[in-house]
Amino acid sequence: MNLEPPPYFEIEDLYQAFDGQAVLQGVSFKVPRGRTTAILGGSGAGKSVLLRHLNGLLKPISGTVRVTGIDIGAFSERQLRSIRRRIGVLFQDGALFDSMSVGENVAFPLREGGERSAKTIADRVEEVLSLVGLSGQQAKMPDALSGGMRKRVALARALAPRPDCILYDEPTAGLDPILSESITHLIRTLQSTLHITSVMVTHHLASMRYAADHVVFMKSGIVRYEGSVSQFDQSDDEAVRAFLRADAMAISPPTSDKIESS
Amino acid sequence: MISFYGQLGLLVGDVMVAILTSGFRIRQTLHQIVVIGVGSQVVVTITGAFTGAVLAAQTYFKFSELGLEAATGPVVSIAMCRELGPVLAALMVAGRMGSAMSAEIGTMRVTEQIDALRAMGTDPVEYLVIPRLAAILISMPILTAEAIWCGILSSQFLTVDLFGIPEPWYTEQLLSHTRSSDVIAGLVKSVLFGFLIVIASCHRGLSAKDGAMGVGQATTRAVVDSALAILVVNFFLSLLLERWFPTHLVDF
Ligand SMILES: Nc1ncnc2c1ncn2[C@@H]1O[C@H](COP(=O)(O)OP(=O)(O)OP(=O)(O)O)[C@@H](O)[C@H]1O
Ligand SMILES: [Mg+2]
Repeated sequence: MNLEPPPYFEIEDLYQAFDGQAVLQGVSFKVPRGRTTAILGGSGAGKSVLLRHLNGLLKPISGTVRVTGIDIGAFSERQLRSIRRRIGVLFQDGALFDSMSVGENVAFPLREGGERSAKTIADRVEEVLSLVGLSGQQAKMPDALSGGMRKRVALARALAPRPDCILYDEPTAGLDPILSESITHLIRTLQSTLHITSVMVTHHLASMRYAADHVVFMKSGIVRYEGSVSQFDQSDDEAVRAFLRADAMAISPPTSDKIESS
Repeated sequence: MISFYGQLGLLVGDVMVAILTSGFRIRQTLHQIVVIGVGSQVVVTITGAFTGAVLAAQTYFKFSELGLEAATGPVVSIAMCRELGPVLAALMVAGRMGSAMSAEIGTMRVTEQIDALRAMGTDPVEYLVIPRLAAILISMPILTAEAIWCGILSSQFLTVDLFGIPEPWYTEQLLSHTRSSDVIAGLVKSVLFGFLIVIASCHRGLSAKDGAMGVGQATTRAVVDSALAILVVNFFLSLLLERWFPTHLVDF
């Protein structure tokens, strides 16, 4: 008998296409429980689309998604609800409710989760806002925030109901290096202290190296690498090498001339 | 075409399921009542008043030729109760609120806010559509009654104060020919029109795509869909209601 709990997510042979254009072409990988998995890949590789399959926001054309061992393929929206309440999502553009203030946005999943005490809600809102460095900003409206602030409010909203898994779509994109480091640090801390399972889509290799335990690399809807962080650097997949080379170049430009834009 | 009605059917199904299975969001509903009901009063009363007035004027001009000027009151009141009150109030609400609903929900759709709702385990139909539906079902009969009332008042003002029909005569004719069945028929219609406005507009909003342009299209289509639905359904309802609440029915 297998005593080991199943991985948090098991993705098998996922296909997805929009308007006849294939976006995911047989994606398979696992997200180990209580660990941070980074999904890397170039722009348009299908990372955001993939993330939407993990909590059933999109249904695949074929393939299976298992969440904690349960196949959610045939689940209705109603059946998905209890699974989704356990999985926090940080959307790439934040997706804040623009008719609500920052405080109401962060309180929303708490209220929906059945919390009634105004005091408990207010305390939790302040707590998660201060985690992302936005303490005391409850009254602001999303339109009055900078891009990086919106992203952090969205992160606070995802954290508020204490989910046991969080899906981050580019948590550090658009943040300055200091904030970016502190958010990466936060993700690591959540994993090490609360054992939250994290899936982090990112372009940012440094934050991947710091926070991730497991790496999935995608190109044009196909997984080109899945494994540990240390072996990622040794991978001889050509797409991975190209990605690593480009990143090294960004850190130390090869010559003084301008890098050609492709 | 088939998929359009299929989607509408699915939305109606989702609405029914949500009504039967989930808690009622009182705060959202009250907010929508303020937005839809209270906010539409001025528009609807002005519409009612001027429609009643022109109808009274034209009826009077022609009927007085035939010596039937006393019929002006009943003609106006029955037309207002059974047709013009509910239809025009609904068209105004469709223009005002149908467009706002589809624009608001459509914007939420294209900026992923609908997906955020779903990702947090909240049903967008239950959260967005049901409160609007509840609010419109409560508001429409009241708005329609106001439109009818204003129409009749303005027609009375015109025929009595301006054209000089004796007031008691006007009132007596009006009351003896307007039955409660006429008023009920109008209010029943208004509730149905409210339902059509919310379903048509929320459907367009929820299926919006392609950014700002898509939201604009959704808004236009929501108003056109609602207005057409109101006019077409009104015709059939008139025939049906004439059977259930005939105009010659004696007062209850
Ligand atoms: N709703 C949609 N309709 C049509 N095509 C879509 C849709 N969503 C995504 N796509 C297409 O799927 C492909 C992958 O998109 P996706 O957003 O997953 O990329 P990504 O890997 O997240 O890129 P980035 O790093 O730039 O965010 C793109 O070619 C995009 O055009
Ligand atoms: Mg993306």
